[in-house]
Amino acid sequence: MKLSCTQETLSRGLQVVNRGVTSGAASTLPVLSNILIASDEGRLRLSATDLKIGVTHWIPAMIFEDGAITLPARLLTEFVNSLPQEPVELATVGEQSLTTLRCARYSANIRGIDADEFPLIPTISDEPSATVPAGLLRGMINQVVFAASSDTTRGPLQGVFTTFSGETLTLTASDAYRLSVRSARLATAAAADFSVLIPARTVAELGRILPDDDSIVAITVTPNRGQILFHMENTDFLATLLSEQFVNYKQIIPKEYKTRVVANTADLQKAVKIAGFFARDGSSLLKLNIETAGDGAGTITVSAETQDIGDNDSIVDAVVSGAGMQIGFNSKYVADALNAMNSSQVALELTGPTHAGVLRPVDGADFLHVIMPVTVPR
Amino acid sequence: MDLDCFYASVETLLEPSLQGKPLAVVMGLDAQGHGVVTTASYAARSFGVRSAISLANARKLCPELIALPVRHSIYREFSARVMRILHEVSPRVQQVSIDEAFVELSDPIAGWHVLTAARSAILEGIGLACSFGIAPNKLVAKIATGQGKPVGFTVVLPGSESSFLAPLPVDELWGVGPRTAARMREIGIETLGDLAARDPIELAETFGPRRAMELHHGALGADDSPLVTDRQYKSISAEQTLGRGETDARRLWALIREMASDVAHRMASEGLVARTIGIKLRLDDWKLLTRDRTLPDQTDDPARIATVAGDLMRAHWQRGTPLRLIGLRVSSLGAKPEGSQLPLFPAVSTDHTEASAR
Repeated sequence: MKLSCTQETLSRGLQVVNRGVTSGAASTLPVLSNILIASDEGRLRLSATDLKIGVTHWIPAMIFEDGAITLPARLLTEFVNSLPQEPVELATVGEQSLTTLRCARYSANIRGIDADEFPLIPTISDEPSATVPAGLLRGMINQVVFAASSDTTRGPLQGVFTTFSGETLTLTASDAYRLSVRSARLATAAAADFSVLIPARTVAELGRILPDDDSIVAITVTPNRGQILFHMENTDFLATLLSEQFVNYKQIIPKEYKTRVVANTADLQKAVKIAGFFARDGSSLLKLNIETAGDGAGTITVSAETQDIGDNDSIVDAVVSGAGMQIGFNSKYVADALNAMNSSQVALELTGPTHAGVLRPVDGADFLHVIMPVTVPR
Repeated sequence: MDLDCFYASVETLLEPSLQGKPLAVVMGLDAQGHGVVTTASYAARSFGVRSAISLANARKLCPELIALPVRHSIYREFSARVMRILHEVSPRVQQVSIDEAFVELSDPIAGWHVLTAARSAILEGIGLACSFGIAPNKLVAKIATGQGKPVGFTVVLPGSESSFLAPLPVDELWGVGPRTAARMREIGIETLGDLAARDPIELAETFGPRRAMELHHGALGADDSPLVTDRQYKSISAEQTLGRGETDARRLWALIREMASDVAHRMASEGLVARTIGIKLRLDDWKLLTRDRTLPDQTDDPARIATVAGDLMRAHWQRGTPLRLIGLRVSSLGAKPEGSQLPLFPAVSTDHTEASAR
């Protein structure tokens, strides 16, 4: 194999496929720590897989001689990232899997592993199930994925429940204490309604790869519901799906409330951040004291206390409908939810100190976040 | 302090007709008569029934053996009553396990009087027999307690530690298992006195410099480990020796669940929660394997502890490999928070231990 490409495109391409590389320690198959580099119909194809996800990215290149090789991801990436923005020449030497890279006054020989040893990343040839703008999907992922459980004993809660229903795509995740649900309109509806459970770690990696623009992502699921493919402009992201059943989350979302509080998202965010400094014991307890003057004007006092550290109070103006209320939450959960809010005004809907609270953007029905309270000790 | 045949004694106390009969309390007892003996009554011991042998083997030694399942919650109640009496003796008590504790005393003679009174209170007030050993440090006190059993009381005065230990076999020393004992026999060491008489530099050739120093110190009765009182728990663990080797996955899962529930109860009674859950396995070749996992949040839920331990087992124990010991340990302990996080829905954590047992 012999080819030439620019340092920028190669560096960016390696950054994308690195999301699929197995970290050295976790791998029993050395070739999984490598990136496959192959000529592919006049372009250069870069691939990496940890056998749960497979990432393939194509970059423009001048191909002088077809071929394929795998090179150690870390060394290759570090070397290429250090090169100047000049053309990079890559050539395999002889039969010892040795590959020479040249760029300006820098050159290196890197020992690789034969491309035949690299696992075949399956391709899905079925028609796309649905399409969605990349930037939109990226935003949706960021609003949901953090609520999934990172605890490997939590079964289906380690996944992001992804539903295609008519023209609507919905992502849902929960760690049993909070629940995040985000819906959006698909660019192209799926032929039939269906849902899949994608590992949250996989979804997070996808979120990092997706470009923040209006380019279209085509989503295809294999007929056996085993794998899902996200096809982007120059990138294919293939992931193995979870087979477990997600929880019936719709019944968890409160249908009504007793108190509704609307506040400026940034103001509340700041008060919650400060309370986080003082909420340092195991439950990270933050208290919200909602008071109303009667005509809708009111305040939220955000406070936290830890025995050996101290305590604090912050007062945020709010529009309150319904009665005043006191409720406790894990400060981290509230901070996460507010960070995910895509609106300058946030509504908090409460039923009582032991009932789930709902946070949602004031001007949108496409996102909601449910948090269970922490009981406030007497 | 060590309670004599604790589990078997409690069972006899609750069912006086068992008095004097060969009796074994069996962990993982099932309808097919599988399980491992945790405690045997003295009557059963006279037939050769020991803890850590399988029930099947115990029945070969003693066909009339009465097997009873482990009832942790009941033993815990009795244990707590004993510990309360010890706390009246001294404010400094380290409970080591359900039936063992170290008590710190100001001097051996005064200690002898108060402990004799405590022993009577435990025997007459609760109905359980126990043994005490008084010594200048924990290492010698533990051995002294064992030497007096049953209903023993051994006092080792300061300065006489090494002469007390000298005639005892080396495996009385904590941490000396059959393998180390066998290697010592090869180089002519039978008793702790033999061990103490050797030059640590010579021992280092066989055991490495660090271990040689530890062994030599131990044989001399030197130990400066501090008393760890309840409030300084670093970890809570449970373990079960399995005799020649257990290979039946189903019984191992049952043991994990029993140990998880035991550990969770002890955490709850101390008001603690843990983030790290670990397993300890001793393989057939005496190799020790410990593995743990740290959770994103704290827990005291026995089902979750068992699930994580089950996961670790599946990742690190090859099915069919005989195990001589299985243990469970929780660490990264913290005080249970005052406010408690309410769940959105009941735990959906699927019980993998159950699933893979089938």
